[in-house]
Amino acid sequence: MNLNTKSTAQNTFDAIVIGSGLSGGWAAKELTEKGLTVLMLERGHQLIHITGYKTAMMKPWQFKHRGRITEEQRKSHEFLSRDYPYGEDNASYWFKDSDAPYEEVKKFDWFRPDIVGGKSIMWGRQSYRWSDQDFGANAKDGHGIDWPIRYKDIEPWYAYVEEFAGISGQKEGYAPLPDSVFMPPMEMNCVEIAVKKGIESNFKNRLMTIGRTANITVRHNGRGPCQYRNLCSRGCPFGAYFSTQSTTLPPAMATGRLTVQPDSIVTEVTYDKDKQRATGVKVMDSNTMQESEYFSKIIFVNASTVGTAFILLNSVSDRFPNGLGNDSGVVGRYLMDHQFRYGAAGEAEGFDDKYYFGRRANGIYIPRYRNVDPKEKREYVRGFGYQGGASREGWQRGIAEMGIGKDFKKMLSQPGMWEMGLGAFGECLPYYENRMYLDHSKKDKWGLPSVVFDCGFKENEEKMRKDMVNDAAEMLEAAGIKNVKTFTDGSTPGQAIHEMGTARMGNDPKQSVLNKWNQMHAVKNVFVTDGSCMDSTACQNPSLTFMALTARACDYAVKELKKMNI
Amino acid sequence: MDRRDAVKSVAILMGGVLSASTLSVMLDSCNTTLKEGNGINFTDDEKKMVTRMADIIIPKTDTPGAVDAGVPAFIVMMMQECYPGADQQQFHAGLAAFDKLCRDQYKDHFLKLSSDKQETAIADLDKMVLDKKEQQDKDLTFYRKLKELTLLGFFTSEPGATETLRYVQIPGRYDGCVPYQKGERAWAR
Repeated sequence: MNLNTKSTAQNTFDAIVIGSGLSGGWAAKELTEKGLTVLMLERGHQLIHITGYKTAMMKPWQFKHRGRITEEQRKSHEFLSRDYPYGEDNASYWFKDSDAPYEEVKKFDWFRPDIVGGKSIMWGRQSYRWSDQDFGANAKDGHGIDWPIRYKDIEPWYAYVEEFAGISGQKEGYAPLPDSVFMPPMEMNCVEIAVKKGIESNFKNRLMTIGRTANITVRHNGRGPCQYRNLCSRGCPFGAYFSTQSTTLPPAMATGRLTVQPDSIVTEVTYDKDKQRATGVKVMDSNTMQESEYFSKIIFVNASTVGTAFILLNSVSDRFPNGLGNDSGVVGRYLMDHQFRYGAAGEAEGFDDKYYFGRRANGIYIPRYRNVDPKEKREYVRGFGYQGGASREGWQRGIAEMGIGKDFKKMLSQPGMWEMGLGAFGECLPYYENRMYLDHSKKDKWGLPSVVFDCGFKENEEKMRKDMVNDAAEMLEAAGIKNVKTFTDGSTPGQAIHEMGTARMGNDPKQSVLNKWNQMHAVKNVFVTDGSCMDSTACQNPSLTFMALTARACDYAVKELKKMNI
Repeated sequence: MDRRDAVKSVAILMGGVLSASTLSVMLDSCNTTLKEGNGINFTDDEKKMVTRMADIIIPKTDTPGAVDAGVPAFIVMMMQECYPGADQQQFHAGLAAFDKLCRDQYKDHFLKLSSDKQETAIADLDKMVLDKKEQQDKDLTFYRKLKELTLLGFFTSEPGATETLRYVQIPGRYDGCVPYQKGERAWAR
């Protein structure tokens, strides 16, 4: 336990923050800086900044399985081992699936972290503002419910979190992807520069920019700049990318008002019917299974899109038989994720005498251009953006190629062809049927119900995929890339780890869980500011928006608290 | 889509930000099914075969080779710890099938052939398994794993990464466009 001497030793705090990930960390920082005592509860184990990142400085040959996972890990991590983020170099950061298996009516990849910092340690760090095109989308085409906010409401908060987190990128002045407050951008390589020119000269209204990433490029608040090692998901010993540990936890701890408590599973939020307020939380120690209760004036639920919905659905009372704040019945519903793994790649010729130095943990970005012009009519609504990049092939090309012996070894000791690829991230519409819910007949290691996923992409997403693939090939070919091949790997929800929905915002309490301040309609002292609150997915990576919404909600919550409204 | 293309496409999707270790996880995970049974032991002769084969695929030249880098023991360990029982069985069956092929074609066990003949036998096997036009003997496809593990084990080893490739632990900067002269070593990741 990370007890702070100035905090009360009793179980009462001004605020409780459930979850220590990207949004929970922001809540802890904002609330403590505004003078509140805060208890931040995390179900995962402790992970201390820098000294806790045991693998961060390890060399490739120091990993017994050279990064791969074992059969034993495949058995204990049956869901996580289906995909790349779970590897030998960060295995201890992930949750053991076998402790709490989930059910899949349809396949869903649920990436559960098991550490203080949550997924802010392993995240992809791509950071993009959303625009009015995104916040206005539901109202425009009628899918889902209207967002209760617009760009102007969140714009100053984007700037606020960007300034502190440190986002590197290039200003473009393109309305569908508003510019952030940027640190100097990372460089494109020669092939990317050529492809950028090729795309921008051949297609009106399409642009390619360097990825906007929460890796800092100059020293910032005592954090060191990116060292171009590209080993981010092990935790950064230089503090060069945004994580709870590197960025939001230090100032929160410095206030003397934060208590961080790992190994603490919040099983439910408690509710007082007479006061019509939440009173606190019930917590189970993940090691000893001992239960305890904590109390606070306000509660921020930042347990992740699925984790938050789990807690709300499990917080049953006479007043809320279907889960806390769930008068609308939409908690757990409208679960969304981006669809991806569709695009194209090919070879760049004429750059054999060019290479690069350093391992840039970032790629390029092509912001959405489809359905931007009101006159454009595609077979689908919304759109997609591309991530991608160029690099020279490494020794891995030798695996499937013929060749043995000294010439083969020599060939593989040198860089191979330049390759350039584009992979789309496409918007997924909110659907009532797409949901997660609890199965009380199957209990996990802690006696808690298991989660069931029933969520799939539909017709609009399928139609969009054609453009996601064909446009990529078309742009690459126009930019002079040869042997362009498309890829359509198949995408199921959860894989993009951009899960959203499950406790959406809205103006109508009958149709939504939260109001425009991320405040629960029915329980005024409960706020939800993680991915749960989202009404749509846009096509941009969502984390920056979670940060901004959190800072905004904290500001509102403390003002309301001071006015004695909550 | 073959495994290599699948891996590439995901790497590209991530803006080329996947690390070598992650790539190798991907290579692996595309081909894995969860089955019971672990840790089939290798006989001494099987270990000798693996050693000789890895040595022929990545020989010692002006830089250390697969054997210097400890690759044979790595292959055995990886097969036992990172592959399901069925894959392990197939690997052992494959070694036996290859040895039979040597007896049929070269009239002796692989280990008893001259160095030259061993090299020819591996070159033929390489072509047989990796040339998409050739009819593939199912048992012989064990060679795909052997070759993959040989390259993984070698190029991520200390001698492979630092002497055959160039390894910079902390680059400290990214230069997107630097001159390259043919023959210069690739960066280890």
